[in-house]
Amino acid sequence: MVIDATNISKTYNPDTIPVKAVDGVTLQMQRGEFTSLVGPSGSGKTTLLNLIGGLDKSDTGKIIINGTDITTLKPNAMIDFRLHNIGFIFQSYNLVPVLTARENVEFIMLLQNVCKADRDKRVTNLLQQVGLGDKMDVRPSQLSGGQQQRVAVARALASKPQFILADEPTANLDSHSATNLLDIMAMLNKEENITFIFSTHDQRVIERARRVITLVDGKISSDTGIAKQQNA
Amino acid sequence: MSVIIKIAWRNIWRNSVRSLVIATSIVLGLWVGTFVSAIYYGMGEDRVNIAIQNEISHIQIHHPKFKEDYKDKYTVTVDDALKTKLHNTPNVKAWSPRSIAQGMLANTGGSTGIQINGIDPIAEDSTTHVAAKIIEGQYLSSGKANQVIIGAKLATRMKLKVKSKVVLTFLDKDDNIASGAFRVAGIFASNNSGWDNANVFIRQADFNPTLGLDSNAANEIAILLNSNRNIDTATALVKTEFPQYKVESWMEISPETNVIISLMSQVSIVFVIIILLALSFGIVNTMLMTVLERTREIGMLLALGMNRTKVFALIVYETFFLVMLGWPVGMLLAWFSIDYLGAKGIDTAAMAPKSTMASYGFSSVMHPALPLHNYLQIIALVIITALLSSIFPAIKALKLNPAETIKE
Repeated sequence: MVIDATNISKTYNPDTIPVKAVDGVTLQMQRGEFTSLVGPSGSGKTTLLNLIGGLDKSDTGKIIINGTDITTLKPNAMIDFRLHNIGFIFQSYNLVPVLTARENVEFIMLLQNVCKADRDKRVTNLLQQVGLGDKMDVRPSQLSGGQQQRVAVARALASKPQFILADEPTANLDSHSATNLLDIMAMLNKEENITFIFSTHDQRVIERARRVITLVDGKISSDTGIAKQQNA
Repeated sequence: MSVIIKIAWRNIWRNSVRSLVIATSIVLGLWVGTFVSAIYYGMGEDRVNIAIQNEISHIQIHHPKFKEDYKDKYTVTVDDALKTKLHNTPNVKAWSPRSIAQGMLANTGGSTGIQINGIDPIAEDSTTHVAAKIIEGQYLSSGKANQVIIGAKLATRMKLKVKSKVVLTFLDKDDNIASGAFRVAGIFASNNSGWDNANVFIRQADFNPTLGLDSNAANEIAILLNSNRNIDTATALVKTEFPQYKVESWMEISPETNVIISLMSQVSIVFVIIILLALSFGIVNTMLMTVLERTREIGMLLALGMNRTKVFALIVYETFFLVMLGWPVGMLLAWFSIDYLGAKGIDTAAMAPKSTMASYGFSSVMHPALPLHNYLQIIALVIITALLSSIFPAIKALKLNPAETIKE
C-alpha cells in the first residue's frame, strides 16, 4: 500500500470562523492507481491533496506513506521526505522561470545529489517521453501552457517518487493540450506503473481515471472503481 | 549548490531595471563614501606630514633630562662621532641640531612669550624646509649676525615687519637672564599658524654663546627620514646608536598628532558604515519585494523538496550578487578619483580661507588618500552589509507556507 490515511481532518481558522476542509477522511491507495479526487469547489480536494503530500499538517489522524507516518515528521524531515517520495504537478505549472526545461527537470535530481551522468540520461529520457526532446534548452516563457505542464510532469517524475499528486493539472490548458497531457500520464501509469492522484473538475480527467473519489464538505461521499483498479 | 547560485544570478536579472537602480545606488554610495573617507584620511595624513616636515621631524634626540624642565644645560654634543653615526644610519635623509630656549620677544609695542630656536640655517632648511616658507624678506644667512625670522601670525600680532628690531630675552644655561637684539630678516608662514605664532629662528652661532653653550652643543637633534615608513625600525636603530640620549619618534613626541590620524582613519570608516547602513535599507527593501513577488515560486521550491537552508542560501546569494553588481564599479571610481585628486590636490581656499585651515594645523589643499587596508576594510564592510541585508528577506522566505503560496 502506498498511502494509508486514517481519520484525517483539517480545520482552517479554528479560533475565528472555523472551516472544516477535511473531516475524518480514511482512504488507502495502492501502487499504480490512476485516481481522481472530485467534488464541488470547497469540498476539500486540494486540502486532502496537500495533507497527503505533506504540504499541510492534519489536525487529527495518521497518514502513512510507504510505511512512514508523515504526520509525525518535523518540517525539515518532511521536506526531505517530499523530495524523495512525492512528485507534484500544479495547476499553474510552477516551473522555475529562470531555468530551461532541461534545468527544471534536472533541478530535482540536483537536490537529490544524483550524479551528472545519471541526471543527463534521465532528463533526456523524461523530456523525450513527454514529447519535448526538441525543447530542452528553452525557458518556460517560450513554451506553451501545455508544453510547460509536460515539463512539470517530467520534473515530477525526475525524483522517482512513490506517487504523483496533480492539482487541477488540466485547468489552464486548451482541449488539445489537456488530452495530450492526459495521454502522456496515462501512458506513464500503464507502462511504468506510476501512481497518479488528481484533484480535478475536468470531466476528461475523471473519465480517464480508474478510481474516482468524490468529496463533499470534506467527507468522502463516494469511492468508485477500486475493484476496477485492482483488476486493471 | 551550483544550481542555487545559477538561479540566484539569473533571478537578479528578472527585473534588470530594479537591479540596476540598486546597483547604481551602491556605486554612488560607495564612491562618495570611500572618497569622503579618503578626504578625512588625507587630512589626517597631511596634518602628520606638516608636523613631521615643518615642526618635529620623524625622530628627535635629546639629553635625557632636557624635556623634564627644558633647561639649556642639558645638551647633546654634536661631535664628529655623532655626525658619522647619523650619516651612516640608513633611511636618514637630513638632520638639524637646535638650541632651544623659552623666552620673550619684545619690541616697542609690547612683548610675548615664544620659543627661540637656534639653528644651523643650512641643516634646518634641509630638515624642515623653512626657507621655502619665507613669504617676506629672506631666510637666515650664515654671514649676517643677530638676524631672526618670525612667523606671519606673530609678525601681525606684534606689528613687526622685515628689518624691525626685536629683543629676545631668555635664561642662559645657568639660569641667568640673557638677552640680545635681533633684526627681522624674514617672515615665514607654514600651514600651522599656531606654530608660526610661537616660534622664532635665529642662528645657533649667535645663540649658543649667549646661552653659555659650546659651539658644538645642541638641545635637540631633529632627524628627517626618507619616508614615513619603518619609523619604528629607524627609531630603534638610532636608539642603539645613542644609548646615552633620549631618542623618540614623532608618535612619542607628539601623541596628539598620532591620535589625529587614527581618529581620522576611524571617522572615515564610520562614514562608510553610515552610507552602507543607508544603502542596506534599500537592499532589504528590494529583496523583500523580490521575495513577496515570488512567494508562489518559493513555496513551490519548498514543496518540491528544496530544504530551508537552500532557500535561505538562495536569498543570500541573490542579495550578495545584487550588491556585488555595484561595488567593483564604486570602488574603482573611488580609487581613480582618490588617485587623481590625491596627486593633484583639492584647493579649499574658495570654501574656507587659508588662515582658517592653518589655524587648525591643516593645509588648505587637501590630498585625498586611503591606504590599502582601508579599501580592504570597506570591501569587508560591503560583504557584511550584503549578508546582513539578506537575513530579513531570507527569514521572510523561510516563513512561507507552500500550501498557501502555491494556491495564490
